[in-house]
Amino acid sequence: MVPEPAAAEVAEAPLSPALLALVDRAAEFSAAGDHDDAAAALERALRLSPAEPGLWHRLASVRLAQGDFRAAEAMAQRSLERDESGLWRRANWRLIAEARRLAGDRDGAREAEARRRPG
Amino acid sequence: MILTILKWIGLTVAVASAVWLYQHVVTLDAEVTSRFEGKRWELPTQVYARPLELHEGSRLTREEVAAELGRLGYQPLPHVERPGQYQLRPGAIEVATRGFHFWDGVEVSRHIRIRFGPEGITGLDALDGGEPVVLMRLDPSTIGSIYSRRGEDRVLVRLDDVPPVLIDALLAVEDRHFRSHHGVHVQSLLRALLANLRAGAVVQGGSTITQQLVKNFYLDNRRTLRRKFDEALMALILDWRYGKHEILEAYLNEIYLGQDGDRAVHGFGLGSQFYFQRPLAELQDHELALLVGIIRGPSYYDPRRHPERARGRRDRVLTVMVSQEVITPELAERALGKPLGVVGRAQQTTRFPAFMGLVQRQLTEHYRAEDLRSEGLRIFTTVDPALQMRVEQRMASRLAGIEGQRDMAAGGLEAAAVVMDTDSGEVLALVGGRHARFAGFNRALDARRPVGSLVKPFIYLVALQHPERYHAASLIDDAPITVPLPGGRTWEPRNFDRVWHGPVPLYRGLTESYNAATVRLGMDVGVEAVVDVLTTSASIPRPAPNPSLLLGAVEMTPVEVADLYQTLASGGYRSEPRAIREVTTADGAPLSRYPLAVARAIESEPAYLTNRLLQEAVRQGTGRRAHQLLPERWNLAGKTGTSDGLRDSWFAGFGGDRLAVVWVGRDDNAPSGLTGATGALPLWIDIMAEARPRPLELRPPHGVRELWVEAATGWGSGRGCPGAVSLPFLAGTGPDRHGDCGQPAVLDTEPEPDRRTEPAEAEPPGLLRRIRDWFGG
Repeated sequence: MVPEPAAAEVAEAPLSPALLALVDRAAEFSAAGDHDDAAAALERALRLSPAEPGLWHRLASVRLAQGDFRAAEAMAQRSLERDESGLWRRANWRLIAEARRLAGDRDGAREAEARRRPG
Repeated sequence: MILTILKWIGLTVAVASAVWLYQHVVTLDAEVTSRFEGKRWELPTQVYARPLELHEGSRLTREEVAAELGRLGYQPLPHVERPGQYQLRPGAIEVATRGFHFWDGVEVSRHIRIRFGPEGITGLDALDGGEPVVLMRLDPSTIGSIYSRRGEDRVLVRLDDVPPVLIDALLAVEDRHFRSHHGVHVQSLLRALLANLRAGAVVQGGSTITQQLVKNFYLDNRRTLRRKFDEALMALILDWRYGKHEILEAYLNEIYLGQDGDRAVHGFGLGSQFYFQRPLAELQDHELALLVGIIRGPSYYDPRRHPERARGRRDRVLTVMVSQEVITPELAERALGKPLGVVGRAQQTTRFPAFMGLVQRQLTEHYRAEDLRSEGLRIFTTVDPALQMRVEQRMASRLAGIEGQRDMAAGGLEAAAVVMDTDSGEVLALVGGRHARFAGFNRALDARRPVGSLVKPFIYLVALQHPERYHAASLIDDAPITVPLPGGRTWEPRNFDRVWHGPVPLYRGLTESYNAATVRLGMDVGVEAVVDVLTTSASIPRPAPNPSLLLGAVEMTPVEVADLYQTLASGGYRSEPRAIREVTTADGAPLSRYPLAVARAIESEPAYLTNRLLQEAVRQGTGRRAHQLLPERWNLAGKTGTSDGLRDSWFAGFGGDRLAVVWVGRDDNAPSGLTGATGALPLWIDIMAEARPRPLELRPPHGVRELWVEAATGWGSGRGCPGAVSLPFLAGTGPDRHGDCGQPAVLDTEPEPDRRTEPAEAEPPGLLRRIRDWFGG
């Protein structure tokens, strides 16, 4: 199962070089299928900057890839709550929809899909 | 004839001796090889504090980084040349880091300059010509080890990593013929025998390194002829079976170098830490000479108890080192002029016994006790040693202060404190009592006490989950109430100030902690519902749904309370208290992670509303002392708790990223005379001042906004009106009457359009900053 490339479409405010280094590392690990290490790098980034919605979204993606749908949704929700710019809104709702679909919650997935769309 | 018999007897004895000797050698050989080839040492588990992260934008001050380097045993020197050295400069620190093998790879040693501004680190400069540094970790400090029942502690070293001077000095002093003998050196033994005979006592050992290793390794301390014989035999076997390299390495890790309480210090790796608090590779000649000198008698030459004697011994070793051409006379001259350099006090088995208690508890969920004692695991924990130590100090002085002010017998009060990261549940500090350095009753983990009013936010939370019935300004009657109990009994809770306040706005029931109003509210929403929310917010035993629960007749430990309040502090997401991040094997291979777990426990709207009310409790209610003493912009939220008869004094509260829970009381459970506001709160304020939380910036969920309300009546009001307070309301809820001042608010019954705007469909290229493809596709 390959999650959708959610972060690709987000024009994110530039991260600090330290966070960027960790996010890059995490992306490399994820690409290699090494989710544990990807999660570790992102958790380390979150310790440096706990309010960064993009980090929560990325960690949610890793949890989704690890098959932890509940945590994936909770982390995407945290990302939504911290996302003042709204930049991550669609990506997060898509991720939540995916997490619910994979968890077998089809109604919930449809609802999340609906919230993803602008309106 | 007689001759023949004698011959026969002689032969029989000879054969029997040979057989016995053969069997004996076989037995000893088996013993030697099994020990040497199997697990050679029981390696204790090493437990580390969190490493310090260095990066631009970090809030660390120059003083904090310098203090951490000091804790790690880095040497302040005028010139930084080698790893483990640093130099303080104006507005900067130059340091050569040690490098460390972490769970996720090796942090290499770097020579850098850390620049500081008023807000923290402003930049890192590579001074070693290497890659630019954007982020790096210092090595973590060791907070303790978990070692075997035999009490052997050890830090393993490889022969290749041992300074050559140490090995040369060791051989010069202890065994000059090590490289050529076969395990036993007969001339040395005879010389020692002769010297001992002359002196009429044992004055010389004459044992080779190999024999000493055997002695340390396999035998007890009895000085019998038989033991001496076995020792020599085993040394011969050892030398025959193994190379000099292996034997020397084993010796370096096995030799006994000192005692620290019930902990035996074995090997030069730990010896270096024990006496100098630095890795062996960083020791200088005079320090290496002292370690070599100590071997002869770790207790007799104990540099802490007998510094003069130890110094004499060290200088003798240095003299031998010159005569054996290990070092030049010039270097020796310099070394002789130096003080012993031993750190003041032996590092204890564990620096933070209460925190270690939590670590052990969480470890035993995944690891067997034997593996923890012998496999050399490395545990990376969450503790912040700087904060931990300051919390310990603040607790000791605050309790003494309270006792002094109130003319209490000194030493009667006890306390416990937990500091956690609100987002992740990582435990940053945990103190189990005022004498924090002594392992003893761990109140933070084990003192289960009634929480009093700490339970109240969860009653208001349940009420606010029903916006059709309750909002922040709903009137609740703070008047006498009679609660029927099972068995025909009744319960008539009273207010702490013995006053009935009549109808009060809901928020004040919480901020002023009114008992009658709260019980009325709790009975209305149902005790079961409160029990449900408590047990989904923390892992605690399910309390019985008795009405007395509404005033906190439920017992919890400080860590459980932290678990409970973390769920509130994070806006409704539960992350269990975690003391461990990662575990690796002795050589750094990853074993297990304790990942960040986040689960939704409370819906975001009621969590937000409750947290706003807890902010008001600190701004104007029972926690206002914190508001007066700490920076206003922190916007702290929190709640007092006091149990029946003033036995337990609690405060639990949080800022943007730090949560602290404090309990103050007495071990004998006698009344302390302290409320939550007079006992726990002052200590909580001390702790928050040390923890320096980020400001608590609560983000209102979709559809929640603030309205002005008259504090006395709960009626609508306006900005600047007398007694007006700003409170949060869900869309469509709010006061249904309006006072004389200010404009009535329009209560929108339709949900607001989404506040969060969509990004424009076509972004101007200039705004398209870094677009990252998360999964590379």
